[in-house]
Amino acid sequence: MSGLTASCDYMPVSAYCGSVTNSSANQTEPYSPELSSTSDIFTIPERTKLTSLSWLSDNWDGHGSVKPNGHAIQKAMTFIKEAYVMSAANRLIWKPPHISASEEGEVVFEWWNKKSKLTVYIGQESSEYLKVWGPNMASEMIADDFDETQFPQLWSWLVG
Amino acid sequence: LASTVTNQEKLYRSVRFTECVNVVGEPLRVSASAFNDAGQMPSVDRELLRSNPEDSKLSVTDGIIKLCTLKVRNIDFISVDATRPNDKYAFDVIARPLSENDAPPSGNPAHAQIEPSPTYSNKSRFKKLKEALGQIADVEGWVIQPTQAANSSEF
Repeated sequence: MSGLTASCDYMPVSAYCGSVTNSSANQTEPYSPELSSTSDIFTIPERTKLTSLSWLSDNWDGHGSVKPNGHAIQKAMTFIKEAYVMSAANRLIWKPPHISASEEGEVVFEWWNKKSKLTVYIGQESSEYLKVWGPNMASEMIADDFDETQFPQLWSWLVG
Repeated sequence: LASTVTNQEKLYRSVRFTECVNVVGEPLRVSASAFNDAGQMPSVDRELLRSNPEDSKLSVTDGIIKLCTLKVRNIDFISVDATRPNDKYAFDVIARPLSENDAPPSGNPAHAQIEPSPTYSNKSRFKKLKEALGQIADVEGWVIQPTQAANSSEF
């Protein structure tokens, strides 16, 4: 990836994924199995980045973080493909996430849309999401347990 | 040296290139992972005691972001009243100067930590702190922008 590590261009699914759209943006076809294989192609940068997380060792960031967990990375590989498919199936734009890891070895996905931000932590045992729209943790953030079925609703909140 | 960090003080944090996000048409954003800390008390340097922000870098290609102490203390509002001396901020910036005898990075009189009070009751709270610090950093801006290492071992 050229330039900075995560270039988050806005890009409609139709621009990302020609096989699921007709020439008119209003004639997007419903979800099809083709989309699944398309997600393999269009999440290559994300899956490459996830693979690179497995190369890190303990204290990779100089702040004492543990090595990213292998099971969490595998779960994240599955999740990112499903996330892409779900966004397409719901006819929402797709934005590539910033991918990193937490001090506890979880995989971290982050998406921004103006003042709104969605962060998903994928851990070995459990996962968590945060919706953020300002710095006050009492009034401008929501955190809760995460499973993949929640993603369309969260994504819609971010980009809808 | 001032042992108490005042609300007006600015704080420096070293941030790696890979902990930044370039959104087209927007300023360089900071990932929550830029505030990773195994002890859940992110380290910062006090501008007051760091004449050159370059000295706060953990590596030569790192950038430096600036945080305002008052904004950090207001992340989770708890009223601090001078008539109630036992009141504490939910998150405070505490001066923790490092002597030459401390573990690396040692010999840093500007070192301070963002510490919770009381200790974290659940994992979400530290995650929220990192988000809040990222939000503040995005507003306060960069003192030095990071660069990509030529032979980067960073992921």
